[in-house]
Amino acid sequence: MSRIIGVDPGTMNFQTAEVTSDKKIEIKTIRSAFVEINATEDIEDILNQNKWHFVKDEEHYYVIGEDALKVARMFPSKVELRRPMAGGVLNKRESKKMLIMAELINSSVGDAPDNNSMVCTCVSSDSVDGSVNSSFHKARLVSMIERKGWNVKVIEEGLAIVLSEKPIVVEPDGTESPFSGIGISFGAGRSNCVLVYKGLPVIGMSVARGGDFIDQQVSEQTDTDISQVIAKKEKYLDFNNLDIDDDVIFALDVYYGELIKYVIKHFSAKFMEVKSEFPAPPSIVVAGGTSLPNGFTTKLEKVIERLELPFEISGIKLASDPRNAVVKGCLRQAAVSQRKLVKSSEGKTNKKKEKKGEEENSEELAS
Amino acid sequence: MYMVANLTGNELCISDLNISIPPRLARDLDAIQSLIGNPRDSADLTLAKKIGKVKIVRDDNLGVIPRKKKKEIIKEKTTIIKEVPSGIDQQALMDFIRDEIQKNKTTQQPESDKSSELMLRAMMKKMDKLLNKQSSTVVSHGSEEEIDYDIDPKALSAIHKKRVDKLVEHAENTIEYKKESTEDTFTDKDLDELDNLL
Repeated sequence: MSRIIGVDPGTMNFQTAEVTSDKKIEIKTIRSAFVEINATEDIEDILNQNKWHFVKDEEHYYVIGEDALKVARMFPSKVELRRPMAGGVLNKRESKKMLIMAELINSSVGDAPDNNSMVCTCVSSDSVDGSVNSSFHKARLVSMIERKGWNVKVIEEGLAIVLSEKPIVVEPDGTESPFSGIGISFGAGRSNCVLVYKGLPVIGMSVARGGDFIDQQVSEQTDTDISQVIAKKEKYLDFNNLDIDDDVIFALDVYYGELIKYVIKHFSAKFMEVKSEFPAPPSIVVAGGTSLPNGFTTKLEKVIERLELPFEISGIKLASDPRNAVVKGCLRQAAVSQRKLVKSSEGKTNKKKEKKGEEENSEELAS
Repeated sequence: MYMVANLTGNELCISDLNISIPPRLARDLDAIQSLIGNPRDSADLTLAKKIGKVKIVRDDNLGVIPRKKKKEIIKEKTTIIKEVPSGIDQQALMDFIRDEIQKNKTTQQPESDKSSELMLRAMMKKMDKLLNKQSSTVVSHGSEEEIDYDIDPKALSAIHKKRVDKLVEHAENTIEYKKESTEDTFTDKDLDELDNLL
């Protein structure tokens, strides 16, 4: 039986989504990080005893996922925490990125069961701040999935949010246009923004700023260890109830504001460049790990109010499942693409049958 | 893999292989070897290569043939220029030759003055020509340009696949994932709607 899978190879997490037989969505997540550990005689025993997940490549061992963070904390000066992805693309400074990413795909997606199985994955939209281009990343990613026998569809990250959340634009005559709106993904390495009309991306752009940028700036400005900044952000940051006496929380609020301004200003510039006209104001849907703190949409509204946008918006909404919205959107697209693939292959088979029938008829007539 | 790039701006036909390569595109001829025979034996392809119409980008028998980067070409140009005697001050060279001839002239008989003067002029003319000729050689080196070409997307994908296959040849893993199950709110109606829109 054909399988349909959504894959989101994020800077922070690698995720897959698949519909199970009981009509639920199963989401698999792993932290996109690893550490290399020295091979000793009993290394595999140690790894198995600790139940650490690893990738073995000949004599080299790489502990992967959350376990990598544990190992890095245990031996802070001996092992270095490494990432296969950086800034939304394969990490150009990491020599083992391909090995790790290929093994993540092998272990999560595996081999395609038939010719009609489909994977949809996502990449960043074109960069507008002179940061990395994702063409090479896309080609590598596609090849890693295709080699397992899958049909591959690639979409923009912002589009995945719109496909997942199905925002609707109500046009002046009252008609509803589904899958229309602005999808913004605030990730760890990058932020992506796409304006979509009836499921089709109209304007898309990305910038090389995300949660990592905020953490780094706050860490530098408050002289606080980055791990402590992340811990505070995850536990205490609430934009509806800010403790501004706390330096870290105050700095987080400031740099969240900076990030939002940076993204929206670049998107506005791109909007002006394209000179797109929308029949009615679209709404904004946000998702991604950086959008998780409580009150994030309130913060976004406040920042947007102070900016002069070249377009109107009808509202701001946090995705129903912000952590998994992108991968779910990829799954939706995979389902549609698979349907089209099946239709097209059925069409071809029917044509062949018709041709064969015609030939047989003409042979009969001739005889 | 035998990737051949058409460096011209027009479609290029290789008659004895019965194929054509679109302008500024590289194709893997090994992939269609069963239809066209061994492309390495093609006389037309060899000729096209010789006259610079095509370039072998990758030959698995030889390995990758690196494409020259623009920076490298510029560097190469700079190196050639440095090696050429144009680095020598031409005026100083002329003065040196003139002095040498003058010295010889003083040691010669006065009646041969006229012929020496003529000889000097002729030599200087020749030296001028020689130096000019050397300069123009440098310019012709510098004017060489690397033509850009694209690689057939299918071939590019095959290159990527091959690279990944090689990388994970001996790899194994014990990776496990954190799993969560959520309700699928996307109805068949939503799917139909999206299908119609796309």
